[in-house]
Amino acid sequence: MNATHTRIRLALVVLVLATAALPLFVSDFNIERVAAEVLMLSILAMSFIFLTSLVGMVSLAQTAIAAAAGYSVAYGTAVRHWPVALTIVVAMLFGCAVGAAFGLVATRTSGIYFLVITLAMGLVVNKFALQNRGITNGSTGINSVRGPNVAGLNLDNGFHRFYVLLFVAIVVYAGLQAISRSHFGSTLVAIRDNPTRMRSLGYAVQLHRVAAFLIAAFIASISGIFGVWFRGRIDPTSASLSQAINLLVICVLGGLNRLEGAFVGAAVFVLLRTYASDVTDRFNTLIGLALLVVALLAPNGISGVARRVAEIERNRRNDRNSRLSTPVS
Amino acid sequence: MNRFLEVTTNGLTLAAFYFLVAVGFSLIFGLLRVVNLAHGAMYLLGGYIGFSVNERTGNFALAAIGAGVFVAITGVAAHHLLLRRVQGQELREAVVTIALGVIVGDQLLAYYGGEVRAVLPPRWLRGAVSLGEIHIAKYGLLLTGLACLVGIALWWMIRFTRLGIVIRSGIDDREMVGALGINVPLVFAVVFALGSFMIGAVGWFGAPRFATGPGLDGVRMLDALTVVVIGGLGSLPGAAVGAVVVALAGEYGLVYVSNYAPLVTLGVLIIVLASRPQGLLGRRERLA
Repeated sequence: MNATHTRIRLALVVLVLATAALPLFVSDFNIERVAAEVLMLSILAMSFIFLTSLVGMVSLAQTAIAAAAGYSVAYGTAVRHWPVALTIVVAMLFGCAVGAAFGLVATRTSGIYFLVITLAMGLVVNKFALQNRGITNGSTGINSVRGPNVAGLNLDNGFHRFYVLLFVAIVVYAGLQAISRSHFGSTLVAIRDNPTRMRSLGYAVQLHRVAAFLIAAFIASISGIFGVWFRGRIDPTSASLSQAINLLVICVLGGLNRLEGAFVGAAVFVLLRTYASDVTDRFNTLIGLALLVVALLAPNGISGVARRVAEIERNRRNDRNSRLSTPVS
Repeated sequence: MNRFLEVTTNGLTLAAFYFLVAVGFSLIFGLLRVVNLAHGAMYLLGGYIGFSVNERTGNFALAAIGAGVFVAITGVAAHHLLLRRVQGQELREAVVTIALGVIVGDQLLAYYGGEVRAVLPPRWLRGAVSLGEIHIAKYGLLLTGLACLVGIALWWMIRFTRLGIVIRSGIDDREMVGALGINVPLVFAVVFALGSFMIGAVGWFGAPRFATGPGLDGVRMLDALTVVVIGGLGSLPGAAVGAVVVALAGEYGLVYVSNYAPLVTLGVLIIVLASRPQGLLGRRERLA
């Protein structure tokens, strides 16, 4: 088991290094637009998968929480001209506050009701942004938001942004892994599997759920802030139903029960969307078919398939090494 | 006061429409436990098929039947070939129906194009009826009548027919019904066909009042979901109550809150879900 862990860790390091070296091999467009968006969506997808895998809650509010944080950044930067640090702090606080409010109400429900209530909450953000003039500027949204320039890093520069995003994505991944391995993480899994028993054991079930939701909101806010810097603007569609569905698609494609799925799903989604248009106009049909195939044949997503293949490979090797096995003719 | 009455009557005709949109969704969930997130796409499919039939035959009623039958066949085929394979796994079922909805919506866009289509109701249903100072659109009255008819017919079917008995017992204990020698897959197919037929036909009946176009699938999906979740998933009276609540909240919001009207309905939904997660008339799920 230890050898496997070492190998997985090694694979991760190689993968990170390969990603960091990407600019050597692919075009500027692929780095500044495609790879950066993959990383940004991966962070958002990790907040989603964290909730599905550890807490068993499918939240369709993650895009809306990201949008809430994004709106704060856009408002602070382009309208109020606040200092960078203040803008970021306000955006993170606002994203988390929205997340906490949503979480307090939504965690009282479960299953399909949780999905519906988070969807409704997400749409509240969408409709509010659409109707409000003073702060969110209606359907136009807030435009020409410049990325900050801190410590020699210019977030308006595509390459700087790519590396910052890569770093943040790794930190988020490591952080969420650490949380899921911690006592708190085990408690969440136990609550997911048997809330009644955990309640009678004296655990504050509701509080744990809200805390998990808050962590996910924190991660979503990070992604939302980068989203505004990435696009330079934000409008109500960022909290729309189709965005929420897109995130669900990414996570289902990648695999809902492992954090790595976030990266796989985001990469597949963004690459398809960017390059499928050369082949077909029907991107949605393509995505729908992919989703259908994954849902029917690979419930753990593409990352689940990869894992399964690796397992089969390992079993075969073990069989070959084991003296008990009979050679297959 | 007159304005209030007019808003209320308008809201009630809208409620009738919402009930028609939501009832198939609720019926399918009640028995099959499938949250059919392709419901909105089926509405849109019905609307477009209705246009095609109407163009060729010029018959309004025939268009509704054609739309219903087409959607019913599509729905049953999708259920039999795809949905059945992931039966009982809530999230996978939801994902399969989302995927189907996305594909149908995109193919409709490809086939029928992006422009919004409108149709006039039959000649005898145009204009309004006046009761004193209140004016009600005749077409709204037709929808109300239709909703009452469908509601009563479904209630009668569920209450008094053999199929209804099977459906009711199926909601309570699916395995037991199967063990008693009833062909459960067949009953499932019948219920799915019935629900699909209704949403397909309603897709066409909605066309004269709300123009049909891309994106309407998402709107109707949300309508059905809001109505049914407020009223209680799988409950027939719940769908009626939910429809009235959603429609009146929307109409009053439009008149008295104007700008933030969409937030009123969502607010009601959140309050109901937070205080009574099973919906106003829903039954509390057994803890599995």
